[in-house]
Amino acid sequence: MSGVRKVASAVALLAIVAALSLGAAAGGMGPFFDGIRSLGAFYLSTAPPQIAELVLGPSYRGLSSYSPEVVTSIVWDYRGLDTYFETAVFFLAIIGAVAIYRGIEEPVLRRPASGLSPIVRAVTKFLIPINIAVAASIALHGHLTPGGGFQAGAALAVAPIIVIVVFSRRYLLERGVTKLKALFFRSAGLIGIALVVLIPVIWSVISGEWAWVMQNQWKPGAEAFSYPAYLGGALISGSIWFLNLFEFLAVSFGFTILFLLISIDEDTVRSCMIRGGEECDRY
Amino acid sequence: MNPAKALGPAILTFIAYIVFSGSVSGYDLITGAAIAVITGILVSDFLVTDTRKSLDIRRLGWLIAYAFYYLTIAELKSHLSFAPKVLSGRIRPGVVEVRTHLKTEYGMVTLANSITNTPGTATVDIDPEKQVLYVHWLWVESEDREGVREKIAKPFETFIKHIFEGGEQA
Repeated sequence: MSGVRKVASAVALLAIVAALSLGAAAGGMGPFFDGIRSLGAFYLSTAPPQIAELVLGPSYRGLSSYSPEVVTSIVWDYRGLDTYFETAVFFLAIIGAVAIYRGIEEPVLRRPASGLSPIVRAVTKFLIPINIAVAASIALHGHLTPGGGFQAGAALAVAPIIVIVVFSRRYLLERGVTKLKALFFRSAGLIGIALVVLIPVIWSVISGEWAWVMQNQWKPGAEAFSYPAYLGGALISGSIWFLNLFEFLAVSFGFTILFLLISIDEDTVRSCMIRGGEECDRY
Repeated sequence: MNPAKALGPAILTFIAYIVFSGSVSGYDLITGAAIAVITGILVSDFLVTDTRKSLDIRRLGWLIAYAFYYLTIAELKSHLSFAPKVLSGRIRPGVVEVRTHLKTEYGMVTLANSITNTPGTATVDIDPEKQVLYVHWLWVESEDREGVREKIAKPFETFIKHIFEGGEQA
């Protein structure tokens, strides 16, 4: 592209940005709402435990999720079923990938796994435990601070992809991070989520009292069942803590499966898919 | 699995967990300890080759001393010497071969990163077998083997040797 054309396109882009900003500033996106809408006010005034305990009357306390992190309260409690099925969609996608790659195994190469320079490798080694610590902290504080199970799982999934890039896919497999193990832990996470969701119902069947699917704290009309808001004096916000933990497990290992699959050599995948062959029919 | 081997990585994980969480409540200490134990066991084979070295308190002392020396004296000296060259634009760049006495992976990598993080020098590549670092130097002061080592590697090597090497007498 010549210099004149470059300048012309830059000016055109700037003009578009300026026109859009001007339009938005002049009220083109509708009137700006200055304040808190009633729905937002409801969540902000019911979710945190301090407000639930001090401000709300006994009849409203049952609307609280006992979590100071209002976004997490909405995601895992107020609209929990929505998140439950979002999780299901994500895992169907992973199952799809596993099904497409079924039976495809990369032939073990004789040459040793080399990877990037020793400098990058040594520093990466130290980043792995720090990465795990940060991800676990995001998961275990999901009911207190922004973050939660999905974000923590995505943070932990950085570890396998970094190892694949810096060392190699084989290096990861040799250290025991295999597709089968990842599938096991992902399934454990999913079963954990399903259990947390269904325990109120199971309890309801056994006790004969009323309880809702995915109920966290007691609710008006279902007062008999409640996950513990505190455990040994520490706030865990009932089911939210468990859901974050299991989602963390399920998402991190779900991503690990994907990274292990997509890092298989393209030619191997293609020849297995088109021709099949002995080395491609492991299962 | 060796519990002593996992201790070093577990302490590193615990510190990272507490610093990132920014809180030292009972909840953080308990969950942090649990995560540290799991992570320590998982990564110990990956991170530690010599358990005795990883738990040697004198080596930790040398590491702290080196961090202090590096972040204050070494950085200051290097900034003072290279700032005028950068501002005046008078440079004499080149890549030199630095031979080091360090043998271990961690030792050589620490030396390489120490060289890179001071102004004027950047490690381009490293050859662990030949014990050689290839360093880009903004002002090549010396071209003979000993002169290069003296100028670039020597100030760091003594500390690094005490931190990572010489396992026999420690």
